Amino acid sequence: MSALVTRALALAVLFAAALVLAVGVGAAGVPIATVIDVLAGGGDATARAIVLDLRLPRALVAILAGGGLALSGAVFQALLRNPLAEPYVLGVAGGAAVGAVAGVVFGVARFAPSAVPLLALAGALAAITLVFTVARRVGRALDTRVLLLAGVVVAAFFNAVILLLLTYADVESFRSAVFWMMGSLSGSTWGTVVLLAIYMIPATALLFSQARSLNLLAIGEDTALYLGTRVERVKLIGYLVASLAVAVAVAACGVIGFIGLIVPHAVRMVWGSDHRVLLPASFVAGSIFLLLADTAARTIASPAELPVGVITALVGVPLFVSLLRRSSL
Amino acid sequence: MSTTPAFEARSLSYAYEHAHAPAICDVDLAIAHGSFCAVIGPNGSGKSTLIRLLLGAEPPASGDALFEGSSAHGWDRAELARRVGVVTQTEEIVFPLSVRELVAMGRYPHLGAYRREGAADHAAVDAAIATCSLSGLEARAMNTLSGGERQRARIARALAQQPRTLVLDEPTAALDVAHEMAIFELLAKLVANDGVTVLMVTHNINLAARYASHLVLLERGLVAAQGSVAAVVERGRIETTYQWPLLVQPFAGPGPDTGAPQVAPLRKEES
Amino acid sequence: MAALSVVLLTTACWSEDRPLINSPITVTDDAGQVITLAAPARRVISMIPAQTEVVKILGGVERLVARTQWDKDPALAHLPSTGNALTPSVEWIVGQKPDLVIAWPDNDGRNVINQLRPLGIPVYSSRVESLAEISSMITRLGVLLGEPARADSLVRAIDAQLDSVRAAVAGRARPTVLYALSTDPPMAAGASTFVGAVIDAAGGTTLFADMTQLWPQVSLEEIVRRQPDVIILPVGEATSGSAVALRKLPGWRDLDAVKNGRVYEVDADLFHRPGATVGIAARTAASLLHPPLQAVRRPALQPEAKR
Repeated sequence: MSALVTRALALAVLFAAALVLAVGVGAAGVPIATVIDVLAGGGDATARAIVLDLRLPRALVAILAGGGLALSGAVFQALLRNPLAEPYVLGVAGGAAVGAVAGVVFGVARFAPSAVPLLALAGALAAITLVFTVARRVGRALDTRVLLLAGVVVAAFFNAVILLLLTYADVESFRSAVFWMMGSLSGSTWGTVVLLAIYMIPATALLFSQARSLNLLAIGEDTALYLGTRVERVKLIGYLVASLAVAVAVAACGVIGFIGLIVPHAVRMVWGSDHRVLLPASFVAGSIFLLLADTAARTIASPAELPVGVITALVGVPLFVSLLRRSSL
Repeated sequence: MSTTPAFEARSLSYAYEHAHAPAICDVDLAIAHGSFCAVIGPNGSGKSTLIRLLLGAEPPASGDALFEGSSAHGWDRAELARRVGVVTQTEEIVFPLSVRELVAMGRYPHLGAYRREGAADHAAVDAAIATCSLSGLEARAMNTLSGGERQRARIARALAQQPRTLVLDEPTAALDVAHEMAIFELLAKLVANDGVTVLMVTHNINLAARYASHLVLLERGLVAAQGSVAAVVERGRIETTYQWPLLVQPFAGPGPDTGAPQVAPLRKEES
Repeated sequence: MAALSVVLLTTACWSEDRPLINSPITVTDDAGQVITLAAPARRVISMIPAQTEVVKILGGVERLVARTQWDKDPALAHLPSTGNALTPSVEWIVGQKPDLVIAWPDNDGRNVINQLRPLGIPVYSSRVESLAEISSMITRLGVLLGEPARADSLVRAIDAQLDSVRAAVAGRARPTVLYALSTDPPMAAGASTFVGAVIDAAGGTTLFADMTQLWPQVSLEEIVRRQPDVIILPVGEATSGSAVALRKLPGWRDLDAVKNGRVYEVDADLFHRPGATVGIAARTAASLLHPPLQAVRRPALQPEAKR
């Protein structure tokens, strides 16, 4: 237990440090004293705009989206009993991308920029509905293998739709669409924070409450049933709530890869597979990872920005490989 | 205590979707509390399906599958898990998990979603680990264990549930003689000393005949014979069910099971 | 009635604190947004190369705070680059306290424009495709920079250049032109692009004038069937294909234009930037489409950049 407390404290310190870095560092080079001044209510208009309207909402979006993606990844890996599962495995990202790309290509975004996240969300919901309808129609209960297959097939279908849309897109729409799909937190506003928080906070609590059931389901559905789990109910809650978390995260910042795959594995290697620890730790570790990755994306090529997905992969993969070499997984 | 049997089937039938014949057909049986019951029968005779129905994993197509007098499928799953421990045929452990973590899951039915493990829970886990001779292996990762150790860990998890009834589906399928015997000895001790009811599916007719008090022989979803060992393990009956020539001879002993009928299949050309 | 209006107007003007000459500058941009500046812009961040060039010509390099990676003008090399113009650091821009940002009205709604406007930074979103839009852009930037006269002379200079090109090719047969943005897959300039307008001024007809898309992806078969008289390949960053390579490519090597040596490479930066250099682009195109015309030097009509 005391080892658990030490590790929780270490994670909390890391989280605080990442948050301070995200709010304190940026291309504009606002001195840290000024940042503190702004947070205390002072500072000039430019410094206030940079810290309060740009950095702070962006950091909060990183926390909610990064945490949500890592948490969903952990839930999908448990439910699908597959270490390769990741948040986008059920076609959610494909659906969201179709929504966003359609919005861009058909010019909706030009007149109503805030429509893009909503279209992405609608696309993601359509994908979830489609995948679950397919999976439930084939078998009576929610068959994990059918669900996985349905996800892959639906994702492939959406991919084709995206390519079709891009074929008819003009050059600018093409660029916008491709940049959207790369994922970025640069569009984060307080509105994005609210959209994410409204869903992510209760969803996170609900998923945390399923931790023991997920421990059992990670071993097998029969085992879970015979150890007192209402399997179908837990599966439905898990898949739906986690898929929706992914949908909201993708709507807010596009498709950011690797967090949902790597973070849960990294946490498992350090802390083991007990979901009562794994789920909250994955959320916090995902938050930290995206906070740091976005801070890097914002500052490395300053005053330009790099796509954050590039950083998550470039840094995440070597980190993961070194963990993999040291662990027994 | 009560005369209500642990498990009971009344005209129980079940068919899988798109199947030509029912997997379980018009089965009637009763398994009394405190008995050691073995279900035997050829591959595909419906043994596992029968177990699933008695455990309420599937609703019956017709008839009733009862546990302690009420419909097995209607039981609250957590309540049922506090009374019945189940060891399924296989489990694939994908993520790293220690022996103790696995055994501790047996306490989940008693804890619900949030309650932390107390002293009683730790004691139950310790006892189960000791009973299954796993002391010293507690911190080992499940995927580093041998087949016998892994199976003992899964039985320990079922014991940690502190159930009155244990159900095991081919628990010794891939084990060598010593490991198989150890598990049968353990089950026999639980029945004799702790009054636990054991319902197991097995392909080992000879060990079933030496340990069980009650046998159920299934053939293509139907009960071909059930009752005492002597009534079920009878040459004509077993030959017909398994479609293989064999001899039935009494076990030469020594031991309490001296005289139990033992099946020796014959080579084809000798018959 | 008219007299009354004059009186009212005069009263209105007198009620202002500032004299009439310093009244706010107001311009409507290509996204329909009204931009109001209290004074001519002095710190400009432009994220479109052609517009950057116009700002330099009208207002001088010192008014520019940043450039993009596409701006290769040595006069701008000392400025920090905001990268590919699509993903600049918004907070860096805010920190520079620009009084005018010029950006392309991108389509994903997540771009700088929507982030800078709420923070009170004036953003002029500029979308230029036709020749008329070039003039309009120059005129409005002139207003925003407080240099309407210089803008006016630049517009007139461009018009004069284009008129001289049109006059030079008048009455000549108009060759069909395939302007191939890429050769694999073949992607052609549509008639409604800036390139299409330049080809038109230079006395040519775009091969795929019947297609409505700006840059349609076309089939090689259709190109072979239509047999363009001239093929133009832009060369520069993010373009593919070369005149030499076409001679070996199946399909392409069978085109009359390739066999007759009527494939030309042009500077992509010149042909893809609708702005102050449109006249040079048109002259270059005309010299390629109508070989007897003299190759083009920098025309005298072009005003020198303000120092």
